[in-house]
Amino acid sequence: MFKNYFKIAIRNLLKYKVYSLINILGLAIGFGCTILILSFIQNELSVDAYHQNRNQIVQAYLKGTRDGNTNYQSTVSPYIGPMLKTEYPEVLDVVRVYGLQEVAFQVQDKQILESNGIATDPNVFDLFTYRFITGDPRVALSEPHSMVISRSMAEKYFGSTDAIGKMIRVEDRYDFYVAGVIEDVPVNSYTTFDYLIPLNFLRELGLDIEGRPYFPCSYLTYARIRENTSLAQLNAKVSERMLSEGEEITFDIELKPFSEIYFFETGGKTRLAVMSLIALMILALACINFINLSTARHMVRAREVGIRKVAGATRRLITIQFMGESLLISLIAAGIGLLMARGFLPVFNQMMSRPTYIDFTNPLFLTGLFALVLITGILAGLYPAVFLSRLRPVAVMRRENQRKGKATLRKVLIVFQFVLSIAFILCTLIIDRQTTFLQNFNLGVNKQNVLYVPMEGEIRDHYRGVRTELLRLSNIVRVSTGSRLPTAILSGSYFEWGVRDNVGRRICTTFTDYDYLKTFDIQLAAGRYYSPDFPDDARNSIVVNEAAVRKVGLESPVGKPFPFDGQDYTLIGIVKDFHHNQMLSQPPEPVAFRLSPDANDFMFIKIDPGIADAAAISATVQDIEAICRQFSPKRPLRYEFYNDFSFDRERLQEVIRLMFTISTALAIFISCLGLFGLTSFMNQQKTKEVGIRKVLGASVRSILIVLTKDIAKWILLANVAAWPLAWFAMHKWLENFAYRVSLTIWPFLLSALIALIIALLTVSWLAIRAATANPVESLRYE
Amino acid sequence: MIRLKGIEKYYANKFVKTWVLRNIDLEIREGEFVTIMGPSGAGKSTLLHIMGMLDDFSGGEYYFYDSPVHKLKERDRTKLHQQHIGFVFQQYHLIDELTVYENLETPLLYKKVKGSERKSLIADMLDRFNIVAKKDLFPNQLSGGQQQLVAVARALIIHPRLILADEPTGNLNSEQGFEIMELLKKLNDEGTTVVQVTHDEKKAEYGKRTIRLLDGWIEKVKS
Ligand SMILES: Nc1ncnc2c1ncn2[C@@H]1O[C@H](COP(=O)(O)OP(=O)(O)OP(=O)(O)O)[C@@H](O)[C@H]1O
Ligand SMILES: [Mg+2]
Repeated sequence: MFKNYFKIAIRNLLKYKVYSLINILGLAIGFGCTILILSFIQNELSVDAYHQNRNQIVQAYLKGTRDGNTNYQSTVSPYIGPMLKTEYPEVLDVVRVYGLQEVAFQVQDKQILESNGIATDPNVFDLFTYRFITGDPRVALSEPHSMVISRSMAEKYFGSTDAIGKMIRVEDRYDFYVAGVIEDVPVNSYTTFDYLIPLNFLRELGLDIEGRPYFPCSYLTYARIRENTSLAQLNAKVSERMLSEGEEITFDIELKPFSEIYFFETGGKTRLAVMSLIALMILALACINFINLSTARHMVRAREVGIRKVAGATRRLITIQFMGESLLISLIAAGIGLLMARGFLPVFNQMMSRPTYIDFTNPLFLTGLFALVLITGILAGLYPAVFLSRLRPVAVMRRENQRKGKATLRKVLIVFQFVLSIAFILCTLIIDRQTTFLQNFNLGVNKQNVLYVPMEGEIRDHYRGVRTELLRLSNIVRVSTGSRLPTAILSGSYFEWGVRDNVGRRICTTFTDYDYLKTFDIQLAAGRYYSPDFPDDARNSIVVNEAAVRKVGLESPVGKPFPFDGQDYTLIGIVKDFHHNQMLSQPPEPVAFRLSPDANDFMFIKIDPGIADAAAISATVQDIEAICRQFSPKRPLRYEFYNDFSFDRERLQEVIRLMFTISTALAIFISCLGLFGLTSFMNQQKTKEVGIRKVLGASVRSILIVLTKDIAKWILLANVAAWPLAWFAMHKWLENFAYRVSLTIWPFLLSALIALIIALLTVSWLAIRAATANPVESLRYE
Repeated sequence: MIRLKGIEKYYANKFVKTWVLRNIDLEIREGEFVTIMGPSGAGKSTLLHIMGMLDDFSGGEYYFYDSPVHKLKERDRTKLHQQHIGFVFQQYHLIDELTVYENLETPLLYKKVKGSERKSLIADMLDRFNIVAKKDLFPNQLSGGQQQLVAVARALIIHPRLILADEPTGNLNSEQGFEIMELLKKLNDEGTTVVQVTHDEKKAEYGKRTIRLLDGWIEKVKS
């Protein structure tokens, strides 16, 4: 019996190749997407889950409230940790973590820049779960010059993990010994590092590791709290002690559960929600296709059901046959989907910049997938199983001849598919416009041909010499320094400035040398910028931007006194507002430009803007490297082009755009598969009708119109439903941006047009084929 | 074997009842060979479908042996049909995706006949109808007449006690047609009850009794 069923299932698949292909391909794509995204979600949920104390750990956040807006910062003062431990009995243990800058390591003749290290309290291994290969976690960080390194680092420097007691020379000044080797920090960690040194060591660098309540805020601070502690009560007590209310801003410390940190920091929950939604929609599209096409096919097979009943088949057997058939297809699709997901995993990982694994052993994943296959298969087989099997044989067979009537459900589903597709097209169009808008936004800063180089070591020490040499190169027009890139002047402080009224106002400060503005073509609104011709500039001049002047309401202030943080300066110039904050999330704020003529954090090198040729630019970069090597032979130059610089949020934006573009393509593709399948199926039914019409003298054109009229109607209907949906979603999304495109009618009309054209193209070649077919042929077909 | 009492059948279409069968009283005894005749549209096929429990009727009572078919559940009707009735459709109704061999096999599969027995039964039928060479072809590769042969073979393969044949020879040449009639007659002589529909007076002669239908009414019973 089952052999008979299987045979007929396979023959049906092969006989209706197009239908089978569409069905399986569409469903496989849906499954593939879902598998990828399910895996991604599962990976995201597993981040940091391996720490055994996970549920007892909290992290201290600096909470700043201004104008009713609350901001959280993960780094707090080193003061907070010990305070929590000594003053609150609920707090059992505290660990502070300081992220280290890039540091030069040397072991014998191996010299490597290490960028991923932390300085931390010695009890770090009590709180967090890291596996030691060698060494004793209790004492590994007890000496200021002890160090714990990862397996890969040990193997890199010493060829094996047997590294205890071996020496590492750091920055050519400090000698550390290896006191422990741990397994590499798992990739599913929010914070990863290659080595740890004791926090105490920072004293030798002149860092303040005692601090004051709100200074210096640069330490991550974790605490293990007693089980069953009410975090809300603890936070209330901490606030009582820590709350500091200023004029403009209120500071506080808030403890957050460690298990929520990853999503809190990355905004990952929204991302997960959006991705799940996308996956769900694509899956829905694919399943609708499958169900739609299967049902359509099964209608035709009504006769088979009837004959089988006459031959003695019971309802149960018919149910088994058709359910089995659709389950088989669903299973094949799941297999192909799995292969697709595996194939696209590298691309996907690159896109999401997080490693995702498809974990076949995970029971959750397996049951999820299995349930999906089952549900889809059952839904698709439901029609023949429940409906056809119930009818009397003669009634079933007759049903075949009544095909025209009740396709309402299928039409509704097709329209629904197009609603989703059109909404996808619309969102993509709008996201694309917004992204382009942001990219082309005139920031007031020229990033073209500017290299930025972090200043460190000898380059910093011999900056003047480096600068002189660089400027000798004919292709280099300017060399300057500053503490920040002009579009990354983000952190502000609160104090009295501009007017003496004892009010603390927020202002962002950056240190620059004389040529900073010229390097980036930033314009002055009034006065002048710092100049070596005015020796006084170094002592008592100051430059601010227009926003600062507006904020304190000064009129023609150039040349007048300008109080700043308790000192008196003369305002010598006003810089035109440019967008110094990340991603245009808000309009320009007050910015003060302070003079620091020599050493700053970054050196900016402007190559002649006339040079656009990549080869010429890279030749110039090589010249720059050669010069820097003369000054700093051991340390390779690190540089980046300003144009390539982007914030996480900008990258996220790109990812969103890419994701929507891909999803839209998939959505349209799947919907068109469905439309194609269904039309080809309907045409098949209409073949006879078309044949007769032609025999009676109908023109090809009139037949085409009959065949495509419906589709156009459906698409228009779908637009009506899709527009408000997309409008609402995009309206919400755009609210995230201080500068955004307005929602005009054009993307809406465009998406309608795109959908209509694609749909008509899909059906028209089928229609043309049907309309031009030889009538005798099509009549014989019946 | 079959007792119909006041069987009625109508189709309700847009407020109008179209009567197809009216007040049919009919008894068919075991071992009879009955012919149903009548002009096109008289309701012959419908009557046969009802007797084969393949279609519902709007009123009346139907006893098959002693089972009241009008009261039976679907499952039991299917069982009765499967056990006792072989049905030949006017339109053959073969499964397009199955070969001749597999089409013949299907009723045996549903009857859970053993593999070896199945083989011999099918071989026997192929032989008897002279279609051995066609056994691996699909229905659309056969002529109309050949399809009809397969349909008849499929009805006979389960050795039913009642054969309901709706114009079983309509598409056959007269020689083949009479061969089929001879076969039916032979089966009838062996005790199988046969009810056939035909337009052909000569073939009607094979029946021991003819029922004439006109517009859904039984015209007269000639014995
Ligand atoms: N689904 C239906 N709806 C309405 N009327 C129907 C339907 N099916 C059949 N009929 C009507 O029932 C009547 C009897 O049909 P039936 O097929 O039994 O005729 P017949 O005697 O077998 O004719 P023929 O000799 O042409 O095969 C016909 O008039 C037909 O129009
Ligand atoms: Mg008929």
